[in-house]
Amino acid sequence: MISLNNKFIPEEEFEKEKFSSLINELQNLEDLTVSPEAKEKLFRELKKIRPKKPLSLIIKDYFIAPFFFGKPAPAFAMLVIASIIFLVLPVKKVLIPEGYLGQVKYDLQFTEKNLSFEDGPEETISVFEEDTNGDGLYDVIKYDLDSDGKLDYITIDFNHDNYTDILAIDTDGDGKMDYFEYDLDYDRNFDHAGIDSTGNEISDTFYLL
Amino acid sequence: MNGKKSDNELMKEFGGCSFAAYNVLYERYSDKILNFINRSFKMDFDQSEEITQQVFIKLFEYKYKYKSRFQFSTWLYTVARNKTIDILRKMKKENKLAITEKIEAPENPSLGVEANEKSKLILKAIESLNDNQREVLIMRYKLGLSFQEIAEITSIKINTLKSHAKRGLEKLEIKLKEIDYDFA
Repeated sequence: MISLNNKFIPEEEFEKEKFSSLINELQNLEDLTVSPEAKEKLFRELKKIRPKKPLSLIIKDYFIAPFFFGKPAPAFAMLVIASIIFLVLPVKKVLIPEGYLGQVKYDLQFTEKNLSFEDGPEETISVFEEDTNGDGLYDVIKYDLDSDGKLDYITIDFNHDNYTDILAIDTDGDGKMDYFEYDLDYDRNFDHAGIDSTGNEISDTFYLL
Repeated sequence: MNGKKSDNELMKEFGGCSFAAYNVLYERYSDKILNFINRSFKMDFDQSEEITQQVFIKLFEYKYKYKSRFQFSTWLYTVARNKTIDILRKMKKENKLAITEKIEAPENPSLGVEANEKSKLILKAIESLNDNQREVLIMRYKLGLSFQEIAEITSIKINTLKSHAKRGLEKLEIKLKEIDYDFA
């Protein structure tokens, strides 16, 4: 049998000793294989898809690269147009002000405080996930645990490392977040807590954790 | 030649419009993703294959956007995991839960009768584990991922994962002993 992956190296004592034969059985578990028909179907689907080129690549391909391939005139013209656009249009910088909690998320699985939970009856829990930077990973997750239409917990992964950096909790059930925890140095431990006592979803009192 | 290239090198080539590079990535990971989805989430084979296709469509769509901040395999497994969880939630919400009660191991003639039977027994025992334990055991021991990689994919702390793995193995061993499983 060809194993899917033969790079397994035991890391823990329990893997090396007590369970080695059981682990061996798991490694030898039958491998499933994608059928050739599925591959054909996929490749047919792919012909209909045109991935969208990001702006940075468009600039590189149409504005910068022509300079190096003997077409300076069109490249220069495009640069002039681009310069006008950037000079005329105000560049709006989006900064996240201190205490801004419009996008926050609650980490139900991996906080230091063991806030993990296992899904109960799924019909009572609504989860809304967003991939804000388009890298394919969720970075904002909102939970309405009792499905009453009001959010109960929200979490956000600011630096897109797949770990929660801000956690917000609605402690009084009014749908507004009033308790917050922050991992400001991105070390995967919450180090500040904030409380909003005015109902505007912005922390007005901060504590060190 | 492509077989020797790293995943990130292949993704870079794919970003430069090399469909051959995409094909190599597909050959390298499609079976792993299929096994991951099928074994970890108790999906049936057809559903697992369908989700695998969706994962690779996503990969295709990320031709230009993919950035190698993560290890490629970690990114791909995370996409597969998110997609499967999305679909499971949707199915449950629509009350169209088509998850098989048992994790079926399709017959594979090349394995021989004994190997097929053993796989079935183990899969039946794995079925009794909770979702976290089952997912960790499959990723760690079947797919050979490190605890660090699993932590990045599942966003669960490494120590918690190790605890899931140990408890899962203990429970699995008890289950297999109950049915006089032959470890030889």
